[in-house]
Amino acid sequence: MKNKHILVILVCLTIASLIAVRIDVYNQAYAAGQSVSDAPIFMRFLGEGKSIVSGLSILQADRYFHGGVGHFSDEHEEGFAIAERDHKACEHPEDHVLPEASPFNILFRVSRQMDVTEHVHLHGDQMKEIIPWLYYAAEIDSRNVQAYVLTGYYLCDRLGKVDQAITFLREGLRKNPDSWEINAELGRIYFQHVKNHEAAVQYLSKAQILIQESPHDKFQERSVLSLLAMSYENLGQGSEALPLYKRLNELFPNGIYEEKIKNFSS
Amino acid sequence: MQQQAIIAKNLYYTYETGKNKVEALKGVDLSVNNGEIFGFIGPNGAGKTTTIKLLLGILIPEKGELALFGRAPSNTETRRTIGYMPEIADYYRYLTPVELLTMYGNIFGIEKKLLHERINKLLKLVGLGEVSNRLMRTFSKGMMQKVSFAQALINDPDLLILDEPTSGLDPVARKKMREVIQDLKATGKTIFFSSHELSEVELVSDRIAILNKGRLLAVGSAKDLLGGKAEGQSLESYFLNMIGERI
Amino acid sequence: MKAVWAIACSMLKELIRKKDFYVLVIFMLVLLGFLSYQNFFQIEGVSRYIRDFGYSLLMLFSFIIAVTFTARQLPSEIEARTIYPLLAKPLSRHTVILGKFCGGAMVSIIAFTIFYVIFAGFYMAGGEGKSLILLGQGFIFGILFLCMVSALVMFFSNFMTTSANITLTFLIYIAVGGFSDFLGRMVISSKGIITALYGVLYYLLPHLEFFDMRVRITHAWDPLPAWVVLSLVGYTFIYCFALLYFAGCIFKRKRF
Repeated sequence: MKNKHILVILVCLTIASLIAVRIDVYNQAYAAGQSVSDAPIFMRFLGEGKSIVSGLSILQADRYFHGGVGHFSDEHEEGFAIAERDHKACEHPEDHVLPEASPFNILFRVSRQMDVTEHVHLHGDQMKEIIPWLYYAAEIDSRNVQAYVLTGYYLCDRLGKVDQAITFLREGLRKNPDSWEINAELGRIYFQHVKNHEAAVQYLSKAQILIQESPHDKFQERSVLSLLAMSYENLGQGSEALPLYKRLNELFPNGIYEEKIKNFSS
Repeated sequence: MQQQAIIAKNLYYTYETGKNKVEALKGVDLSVNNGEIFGFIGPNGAGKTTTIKLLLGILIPEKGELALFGRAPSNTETRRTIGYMPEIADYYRYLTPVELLTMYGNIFGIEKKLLHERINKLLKLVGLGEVSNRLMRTFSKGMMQKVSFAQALINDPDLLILDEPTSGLDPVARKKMREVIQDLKATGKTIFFSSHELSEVELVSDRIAILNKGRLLAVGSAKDLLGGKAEGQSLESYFLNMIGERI
Repeated sequence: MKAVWAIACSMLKELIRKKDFYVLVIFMLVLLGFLSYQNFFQIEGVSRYIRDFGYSLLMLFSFIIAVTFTARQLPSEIEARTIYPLLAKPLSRHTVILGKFCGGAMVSIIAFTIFYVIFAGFYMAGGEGKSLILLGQGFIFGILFLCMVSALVMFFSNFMTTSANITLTFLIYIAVGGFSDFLGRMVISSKGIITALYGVLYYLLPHLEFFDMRVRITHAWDPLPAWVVLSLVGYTFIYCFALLYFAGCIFKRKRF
């Protein structure tokens, strides 16, 4: 009698599994045909809220970068990685300016002790600690371009994981084909770390086109154009580099650019 | 020891719910002798449970005097000598009867060995010996009543206050309960119990009090109460007459 | 004291026999196991986010247990009418409140200890800046936090339904975390009657944020000085005593 029950349960489970497999195959085929998100079900549940969660994840990475303390100044809204690129310990004078309190006020004194007042940045190998948050920021919202760029930067420049950075950025590019930022970051990595100037030109020239269609400032345009110009230069294609240096000289009139223009013009 | 287990003089109690005031007791006088079984009857809303709550010190009388063995009910020492069985109580479903009785026994500060023996004895007495270690969430209403009765006896009380002790019990269990009550009386305990089952009250009580709309209508033994009435009249018809006369 | 212990112990049995606790333990184990198993670009030794998640989870779960267990106690006693036989026993109403508080606190502290052992296992397994002192302080602060929460819930359960009590405690927890720092600054920087108003709020609110060691443990900050730990022990004791005493007074006046 007992064996009979087990048999019935096993048969039911087998049938259910077969149906589940069929449904899954159908879903995958449907998703492929309809450009349905391949994100995990939890991420899909978040809906438009995922951009907020993704943004919070980046803020959390920023907190980790500062040893667990949040710094939400303008500098960081633009991306803490950019500030860190100079590798200088930047100062945050606005942080933790606590008003004076009576020394007899025990609650305030305890509160001061609980808060951190010293300013710290992660260094060296410690940088790896921010990677999970950047990774999740990108995983949660695949349109969060900043998450891909920051992850690429930290992986490559701080942790020496060049191949992983390229793979991750390519994945980001697959999901955001119109992003000049990811193209520019890939181009920069190929230029600076891989020394593959052909690949650098491929990505940077795409970035150069896309940046014109997006809101940007002249500093951002300069970084794309200068890397692209140098890549052409390294490939011996001075004629391609010339208009780029001209544009750079328009943006930031500079003796170096003028010299380059003179050289390539002759 | 005091001659009287309970003395209540001119008890008043009013419930206030917002602006509404309900006078639950209006000058109740009561005295229960040591070692007697005292039945307390009355229709729903008569004030029986309120009286019991006052006896237990859960409520404080608005007016009047109340003493159990000569002491105030709110006195902790007074409560050590009282056992109380509520009308309905859904005891902690995640405990077994043994654990429940252990908890109450520990509240009384009963020594471990004595408590263990007493729990076994009580659970056998109420007929729960077989299920003493089963979680109470599986218990029927009748079984809960038996647990309730057992917990009322955990401190070997001098005064036992029972609120509708036989409700939810089958006839066999009722009979058993009556026997236990009689046995307790034989050991010198005082039993004060309220019930709707008039025949039961008549069967076991030494004296009976009838309460209606917060007033005590009559007190006496069943024989005394029925003595002045026509022969063959039951307590039930007497009770209905008493209430009817004053409605 | 025996009566307090007897009441508290009955609540412990509820924890053991209910499935909720085991579900939370398994959930924590699975989640931390999953996070440890995660491989981010073949980078080894990433630990801070596991500590962060682990600590947050254990505090959240312990908080949930403390709130839900303690909040249910008085209302369910009244609903099940077991309050009558309990009040008929030789104990004061303050003792009932103390017993229920001790039960709620004990149940959540035991659950917290189990969660903490799991967390400590993951903490010690990898990562830099491991500190047993920090770990110990985190444990002490967790216990203090749960005592504060249980006392707060016990106080509210005198005049609130279980669900309202749980909601209010959650709101206070969130509000204290979010606005306590702001209030503190306002007390010092504002003037006149506003200072008094902010001051009353600041001193009356339970400073649950003091017990949060998440960032300190995650980012391996220095352990707190002994005087801070002792001050917080004193603060917890005084705050809980005041709340429970007040709760007992209200409970004493209650008519059932």
